[in-house]
Amino acid sequence: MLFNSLVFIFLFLPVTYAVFWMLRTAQARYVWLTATGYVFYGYWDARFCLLMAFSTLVSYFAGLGFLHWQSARARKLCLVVPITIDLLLLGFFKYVNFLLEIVFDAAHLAGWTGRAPHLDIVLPVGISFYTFHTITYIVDCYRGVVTPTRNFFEFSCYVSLFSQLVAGPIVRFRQIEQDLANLGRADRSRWLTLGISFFLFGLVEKVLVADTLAAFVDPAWKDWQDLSTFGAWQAVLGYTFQLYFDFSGYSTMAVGLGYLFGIRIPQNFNSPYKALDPSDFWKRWHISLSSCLRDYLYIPLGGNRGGPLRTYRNLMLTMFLGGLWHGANWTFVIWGLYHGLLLVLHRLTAPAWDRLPVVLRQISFFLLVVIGWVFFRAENLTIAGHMLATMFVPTGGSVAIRSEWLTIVLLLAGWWAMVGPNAFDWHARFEARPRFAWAAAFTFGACVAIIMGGRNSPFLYFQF
Amino acid sequence: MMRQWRRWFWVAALLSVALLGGECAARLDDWLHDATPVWASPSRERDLVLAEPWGYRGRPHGHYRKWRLNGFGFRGPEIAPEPSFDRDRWVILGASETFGLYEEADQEYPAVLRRLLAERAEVVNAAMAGITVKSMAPYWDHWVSRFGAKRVVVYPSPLFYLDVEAPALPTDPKVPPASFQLRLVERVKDVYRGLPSWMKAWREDWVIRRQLAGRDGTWLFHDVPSDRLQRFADDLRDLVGRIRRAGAEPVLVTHAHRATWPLRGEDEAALRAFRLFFPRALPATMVAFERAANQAILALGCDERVAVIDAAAVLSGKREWFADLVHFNDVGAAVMARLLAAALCPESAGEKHAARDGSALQR
Repeated sequence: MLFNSLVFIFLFLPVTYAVFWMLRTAQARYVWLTATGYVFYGYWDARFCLLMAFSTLVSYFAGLGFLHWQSARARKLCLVVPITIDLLLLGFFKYVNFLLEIVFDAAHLAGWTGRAPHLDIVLPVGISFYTFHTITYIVDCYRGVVTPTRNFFEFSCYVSLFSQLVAGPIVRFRQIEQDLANLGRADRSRWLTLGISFFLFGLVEKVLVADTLAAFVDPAWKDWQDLSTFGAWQAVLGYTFQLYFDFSGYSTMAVGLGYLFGIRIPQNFNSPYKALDPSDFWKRWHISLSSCLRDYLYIPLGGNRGGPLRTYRNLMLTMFLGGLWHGANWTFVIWGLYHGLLLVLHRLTAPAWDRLPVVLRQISFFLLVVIGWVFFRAENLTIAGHMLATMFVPTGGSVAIRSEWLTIVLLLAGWWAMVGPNAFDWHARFEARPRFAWAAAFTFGACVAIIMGGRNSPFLYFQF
Repeated sequence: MMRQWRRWFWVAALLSVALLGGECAARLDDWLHDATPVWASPSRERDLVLAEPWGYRGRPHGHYRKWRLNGFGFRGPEIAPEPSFDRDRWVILGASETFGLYEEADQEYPAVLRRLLAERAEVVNAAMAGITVKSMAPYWDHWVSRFGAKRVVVYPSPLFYLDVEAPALPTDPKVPPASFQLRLVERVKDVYRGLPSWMKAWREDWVIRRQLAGRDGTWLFHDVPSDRLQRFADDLRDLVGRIRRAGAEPVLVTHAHRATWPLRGEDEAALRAFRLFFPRALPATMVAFERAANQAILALGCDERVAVIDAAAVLSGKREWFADLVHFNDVGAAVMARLLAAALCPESAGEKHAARDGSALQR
């Protein structure tokens, strides 16, 4: 089920909301949110629910293990076993074909002639996200950062909370622990307006901006071979803003949905195209993932404590794995390594870079990010190479459909992303006034009409 | 009491504003994606159809949503009035299955066929949604025949002959006058098409029950109505004669549909949806009539020595190639195009596919 679908907006959400607030106890609300999470998830494929239930059980019992056993060895076992199980599941569903491909490619280089088998595996939606949810919970329990919950439904509610289930943000248990504990005493009226407002803001980002861009950008990428230099820039810039508004829209809707149920979900995007350097960018883009990579990978690897070379190695390794997390494809690996390289280069040149004018730094770094998105969007390295060549070597060819309008949409989207306010900026000055109701009604009607047109697309981050 | 009224007033006002927002967005969306003018009230009948004294034809440069017509009112690219000297012109006559309904733009089978046979012939899609074999005759005589086609492929839709009244020539052709229309209404209809099948079944049953109210059992077609079948065969024979008299070679194509005989439960929804258009025909009768009509087409081919492509033998019963009972999806349209390409022009690229699909051009 998609947030931007009629069945979600007019059936799932109202029913879930109404029943949730009719229930009085925290336990009943945990059970209800768990059940609705499974309905939401099972809407794609009911079989996926079994996998999520298994992952939930494994992590829940690992948490109980931390409560029961105090010895270092037992605690380590409670850490390693469930994480291994989670990663094996993720690895099997997401990476096994990629690994087979690599092994067989290597064998071909050694002179073996045979075809790599391709296993017909369906990637469960959002597996990367809920696997990270459970792993961060287990690690935090091990570190003593959170006290493991004994309440199974509280934990399953955390894992299967529909607002953040399939495309994040990767909310850590400790970030919503307090709200979950107070779920029975949550105040409906306190967050209602804010919840609706955030949800609408996200809906606008997704439906009005990202999907509008998708209608131009997707055909352009489909005809990548025929694009001119201008067309290639249109396609790449279009995707740059489409991806941002798509994922930011999803995260903003998730925040709004969280508010509607009394759970404060943290910010996931803080105007990343306003970033002035790579380090700044990763504090603004997919904040929940980058902070997870920092806290659960980069710092345990040694962070910046072992001298410059170790820091660079740790950065590259973290970004390599961050790229791989997005998908089993060399394009994501290259994208991750590219950002790792940008982080390393920034560390090397920070004194000089930071002296440049702010506007120059923002635009220059934005262009570097745009180049990275070429790898992120391209289906393979051939397409990525061709697009980059077309972008930088003047080439004749086609432009995007309705090119003049795309240019206008790009300018508007670019202004919003690089200068305008994000959902949190806007809500910092937000006051519920009657005129908000009129604007909200108008905007909601507009979004629903576009959704009814049937051109809305799934969220881009679902594939990860 | 006053407070209650005030609350309802606000709810109604907000709802009106939401509808206004929806209507504005729908118009902008149509303009941005389909180039439909913001202030226009698009209608398929008015934007794609032109009334002539003898019947209907496509509106020159007509445009409605994804459907775009050329200067002569045919779906597809612009063509010259006369065929070029180095390529034959082949015309396809048919109804909505040929015109294209569910396929993406340029994925309807005549468009695919045009691309497949680009070197050999110029394929023109002269189909019109809703045209019966009866109405094809004046359409051919007064309009299509003047474009110098060497071959005319006819893909008739037999089910029209199960309508409440048998197909007849239009007595007073006219298109509906322009009237203001909310774009949101069109979008609500689109939503209906995407509803779960059980919801649609409920509504369709209700409509069919209403259509049958007050009718006795004799009104229904329990079996293939022989008079209707005869009319279909006669009209097709008449059309074949007209095409020949204009100097073109007719090619008939049997009509494919997704149902099989005996009926399967999986086809129930598709048959029920079509019963809304043909309430007199029971689901089994529709399938039986299709089969009988295809036999009639094959027989006509033998009698009149007309080439027949037995598309039904290859495509019928293949649910994955149809979007409803008779209309193709993109994959089905591609299969149909390859089948026709291989049969019409065996030396073309479609030849190998034809062998795989087991198609045959019967003479």
